[in-house]
Parts: sequence; structure tokens; C-alpha cells
Amino acid sequence: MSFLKRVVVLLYVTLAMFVGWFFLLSSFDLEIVRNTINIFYIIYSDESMKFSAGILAGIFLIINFIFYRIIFEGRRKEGFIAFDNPDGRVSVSLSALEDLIKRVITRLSEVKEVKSGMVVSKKGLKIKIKLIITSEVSIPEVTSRVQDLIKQKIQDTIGMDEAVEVEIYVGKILSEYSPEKSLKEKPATEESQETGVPFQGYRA
Amino acid sequence: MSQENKLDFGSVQVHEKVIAELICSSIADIDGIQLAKKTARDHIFGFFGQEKFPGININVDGDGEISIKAKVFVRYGVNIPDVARQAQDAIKDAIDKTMGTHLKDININVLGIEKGES
Repeated sequence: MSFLKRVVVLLYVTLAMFVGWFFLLSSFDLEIVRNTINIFYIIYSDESMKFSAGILAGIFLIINFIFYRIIFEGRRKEGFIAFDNPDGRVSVSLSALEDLIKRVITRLSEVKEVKSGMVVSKKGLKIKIKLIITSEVSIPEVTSRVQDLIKQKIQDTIGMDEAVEVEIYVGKILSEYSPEKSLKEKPATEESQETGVPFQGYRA
Repeated sequence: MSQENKLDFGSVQVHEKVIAELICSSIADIDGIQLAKKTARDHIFGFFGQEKFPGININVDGDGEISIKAKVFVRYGVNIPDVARQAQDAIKDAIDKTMGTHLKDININVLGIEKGES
């Protein structure tokens, strides 16, 4: 466990212990509850104390957010595909491969959006792709191209010999017509008509 | 942490920072690969005075053997095994030439693909 994770665990264990002891003692002696309420009342009634408490709360929230981001980032990068070279091991993060796949697929004009996920098992690599594609395209053709492209790119990039299974789910088919696009195209055609005869009024 | 070599007149200690700098410069010369940049975690550790080289972990075991772990990003379109092999060779050569020390492991960890077109 890393140093930072230990700090987080310590912080939350202390907090949980404090809350636990507070409720345990308050069940025997109501005086503790009254004192705590008094402390909150003092903070509430004094403007400077209120301000200080607000700043402290803000700092705690920011620290919490930073810890959450750090732990979350650490978890996200856990999945790797590894192979051994004579000098040592080379590990490729699954998120790197996901990035790669997204770049390959978004180059296809038929594909508008891509979401991907990966599972590594003893059988090989299983890639799950969710696509949003444009209308008037043959779905079997596009999906087959996507599967071939992904397999080829994975083989070329990491030289993986194990089986690569690509599972595709077409989530949405977008219409070709876009109102914004047609509005943008209109002035361009008017301009081309105007500039079509540049020397209309010219006389020698 | 430092690597120690015993000579006739005393010992020479090489700081971890020196090894990290050697790794940085040897990877910088290779096309299509770069070391990972500082993360939020590195910034926090740096703020509290624990300066770390982003993307480099150096371990010296009890026998004085060095293991290196380099976290890198590669450019889109490069062959990862080739570029990783180049990085391992470059690091090995640089450490061998400068310090005359044999490295136990050079582990390359590819974290992602660089932004930008190939």
C-alpha cells in the first residue's frame, strides 16, 4: 500500500473512530451531545468562527477530492498486457490500447463516436466496442472493417500472438442531415454564383 | 537511495537522481517514446519536499543490483515491442558506460499513446 493510501486510510479510520466513540459515549452520557451542540451553536453565532469553519470545510473537501482522484487514477491504470524481453518486462496499459483503438476507428468517416472496454483473460484479449455510425452505411461491412482494423493495429503495435476477439455493439445510427451544416453551406453557394461572372459590366 | 561502489581508496556513491537523469536523457534520444509527465500525486509529493522523477522508479536490492521501472508514453503508430526494446538497450548502454554497473531488470511500462497525429 502506498504512503498516500495509508494516509487516507488513517484519516478515515480516525474519523470513524471519533464518530463511533462520540455515539457510544453519548448513549451513556447526554452531556457530550449537549457540549457538541453548544460548540456548533458558538460557531454558528460568531461570524469569524463561521468563516473559519467554512474555510476548514472547504480545505477538507479539496483534500478529499485530491485523494479520490489519486486513488481513482491508480485503479484505472491497473490493467496491463505484459511481455518479456531479455532486459526486462514491457507492460502496456489497457487504457493505452483503448486510446489506440479509438484513434484507429474514429478515422473511419462512417463512425461518429466510439466507446471501448477491454478484458484480458487466459484465452486472449477481448475488446468491446460501442459505436455510433452514420446512416446509409452497411453495418456488416463497417463492423467487419472495424474488427479487421482493430485486430491488425493490435498485432502491429504490440505484436500480440494471442487471440483478439472484437465484440461490436452499434448503439445509434445518426442521420446524415444536419441543420447546422445545411445553413453553413447556403452562403457559400450564393457567393460562388456572385463570383461566377467577374467582368460583367466591363466595356473596353 | 544510492548505488555504492567500493574502490581501493574508499567508496563512491552514486545518487538515485544521477541514474534517473541518465535514464531521462537516454530515452529522450529515442524517437516515438517519452517518459510520463508529473501526475497530481508527484506534484503533492513535490510540494511536501519529496522530489521524485516522474515516470522512473529505481530499486537497489541487498546485493547492490539495480532494477529500473520506466513509465512511458509512445507515439501513435509506433511498434511498442520495438520501441521498448530500443529504450531498454539505450538505458542499459547509458548505465553501463557511465557507471559500469550491470542492471538486473529494465521494466518498461507503457501508460498511454501520446496526443497528436502520427
